[in-house]
Amino acid sequence: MAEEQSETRHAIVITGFADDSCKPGAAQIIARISRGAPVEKIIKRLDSLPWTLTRSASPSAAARLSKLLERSGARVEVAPPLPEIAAEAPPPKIPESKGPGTLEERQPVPEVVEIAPTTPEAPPSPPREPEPDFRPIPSREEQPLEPLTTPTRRYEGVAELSFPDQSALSIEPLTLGGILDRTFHLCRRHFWPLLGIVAIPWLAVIAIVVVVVAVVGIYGVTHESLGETATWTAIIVAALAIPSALVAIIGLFFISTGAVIHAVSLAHLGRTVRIRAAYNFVFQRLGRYFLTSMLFSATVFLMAAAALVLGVGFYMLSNLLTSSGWWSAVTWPFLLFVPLYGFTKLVLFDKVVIIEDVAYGQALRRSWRLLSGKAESSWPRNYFVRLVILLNLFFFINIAISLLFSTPAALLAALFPESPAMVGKVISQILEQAGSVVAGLFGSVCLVVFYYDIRNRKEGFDLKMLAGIEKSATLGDREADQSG
Amino acid sequence: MREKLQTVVIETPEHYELQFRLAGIGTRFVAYLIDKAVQLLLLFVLVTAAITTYFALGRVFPRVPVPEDLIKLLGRWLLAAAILMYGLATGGYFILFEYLWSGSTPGKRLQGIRVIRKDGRPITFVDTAIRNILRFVDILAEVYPIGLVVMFLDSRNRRLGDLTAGTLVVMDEAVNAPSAPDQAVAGPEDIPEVRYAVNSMTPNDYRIVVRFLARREGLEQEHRADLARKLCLRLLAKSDAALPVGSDPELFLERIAASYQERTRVL
Repeated sequence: MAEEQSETRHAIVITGFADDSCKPGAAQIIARISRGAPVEKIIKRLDSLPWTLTRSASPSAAARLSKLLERSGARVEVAPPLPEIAAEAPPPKIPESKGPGTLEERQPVPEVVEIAPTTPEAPPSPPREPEPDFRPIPSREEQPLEPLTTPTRRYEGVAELSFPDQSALSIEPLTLGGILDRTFHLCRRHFWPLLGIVAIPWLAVIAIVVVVVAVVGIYGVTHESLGETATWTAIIVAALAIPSALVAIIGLFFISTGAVIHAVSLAHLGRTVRIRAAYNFVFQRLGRYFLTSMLFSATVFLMAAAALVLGVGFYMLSNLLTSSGWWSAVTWPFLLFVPLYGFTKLVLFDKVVIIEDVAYGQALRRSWRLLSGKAESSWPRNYFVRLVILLNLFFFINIAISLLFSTPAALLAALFPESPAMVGKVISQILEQAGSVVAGLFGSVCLVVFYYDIRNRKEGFDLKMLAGIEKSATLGDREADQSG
Repeated sequence: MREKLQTVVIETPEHYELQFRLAGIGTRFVAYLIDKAVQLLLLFVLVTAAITTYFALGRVFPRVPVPEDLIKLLGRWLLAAAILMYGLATGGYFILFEYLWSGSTPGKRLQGIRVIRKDGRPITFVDTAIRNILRFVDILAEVYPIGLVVMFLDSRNRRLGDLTAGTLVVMDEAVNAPSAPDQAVAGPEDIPEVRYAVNSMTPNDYRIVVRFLARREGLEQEHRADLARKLCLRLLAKSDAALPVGSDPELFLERIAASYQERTRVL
């Protein structure tokens, strides 16, 4: 009884025969246990071995069936080996992983044995007949990437929960909810490295503010005393330092955006995220990234300008044709849509530059092309609409995150009304900034996941990765080498 | 490429193991927004019905001699009914749907998720009542700030209501029946290259081929053709064979998949 309750199920594979005369006998046995399958068909099937008879035999049934078949002259493999067989048989060979893209086994049979060579028909004009390392397959292609049964720890007594480690996520086409799930999953898994990448520019800003406050405090500069204490040297230093600091901060924010994209890309593909490596990677592509960003800004600006010119044109036309030029206001929502549409269609350009190393006009065109067309078997089908809905969903999540950070400040202000107003303001500012950092991080992660989802759907990127067809172009040669 | 999928395995007292995939935070959030939309629609219908009734009665009563006390009483009952309906549409919505629909609400059903007890059993009325009363703490200003943080910190994506009621939200995935015994038939391996490819094929190769065949309609033409060709070359490279001249790579992959499936057919 205990055995029948065992979770282990065995696959029984006929791999060959001692000689061909054994086949009818084995076919008879199979016909008997399969309740009515014609013996002739079974004999015909036995000509192209190996043949997996079942994958769900209980240990006792597997033992009986294999014994029966072996007695008829068949060579039988049982996977996983039965306890008594396992003692005699050599340890099963697990198929080796074929590169980084391959999947782990997810078939019902927990372990797969390499089947002994069979005797296939001789090919008429043979290239080398390959080593038949034929292995059983999962019985449910509908969910081939989901574990069907998982060996888990057994618990005594009361039912409890466990978290098996063997199951995994794969980068497959996702629903909108799935994209958000993946976003939260990645953020949770790599929260501190990702937060570190995003927080570096903010830390720089804080450092500069602290320096300025210290200088002001040490020299006792006020806006009244500024004119008296200022010297030409101080003015020149300030004139150089302030713009330099501004450029440095903007540049740092810019680099951090790129670093987040690269880090999330690595995390999404199952690689390790490191703050320094992410920044180093972006430095390699900084020039192209910067120029493409400029091109993006210029394109969106031109679109806005074109909309503005059109709006003025409509106003003048309306002035000529109607009593008031303000009738042209009906066209404004449509005109406003033009730059918004352009901005949204090009929004993936930074992912294209950082992840694919495609820059300038090509990056913008690629972003536009990625967001064109329709997704199969998913709602909404249009990629552009998907992005718009996703951004709206994220808008709600942003509100939640902002509320989360602003509520403690409000509570503190309510609980300590006597505290100086400055303290409350500073705390509230800090918390608001922290909220926007976290919300920004989630937004960046979400867009990278969305970008990969489009590539999976339109280009079969996940399949290319799994098949080992594509890797270095995405991860960057150095990263690909590092990750082995 | 591979990461841990959030799953829970629950062992029943009979030592059967039930495996569930936990619903993610994003999916739950989308489900909540859908439910919110349905709730708003219900409220709109209720308010419209109440206003219509109010005006209709206002037109009827002056023409019909009804005692004033009765009108007041009727007014109070109508108000009570309106409050009750409002309560049902807001607070009761989740409780009733989850209790009557085995842990689902319209939003959850659309997203393919449902609530279960942590021992795998269906939730009871008390469970759903507790988790939904605590929803008022979780949702704060209707955007789930507290719920979001608690779910983010909890490894099983549970919000306060779930933690208190001892419930989990899981993906409501269809369970496929084991494949039925097939009759043994000869494989379609009349092309030698197909046989060579199948002989050297691993389960992973098979999965990739099946995935490609299932999703090829959604792929861009250029990538579809390229991927099909590269998959064929990859499979044939193992046996030093080449794709037959003039053959369609997709058709070749179809044959390979069919042949592989045929060979591993369960009796």
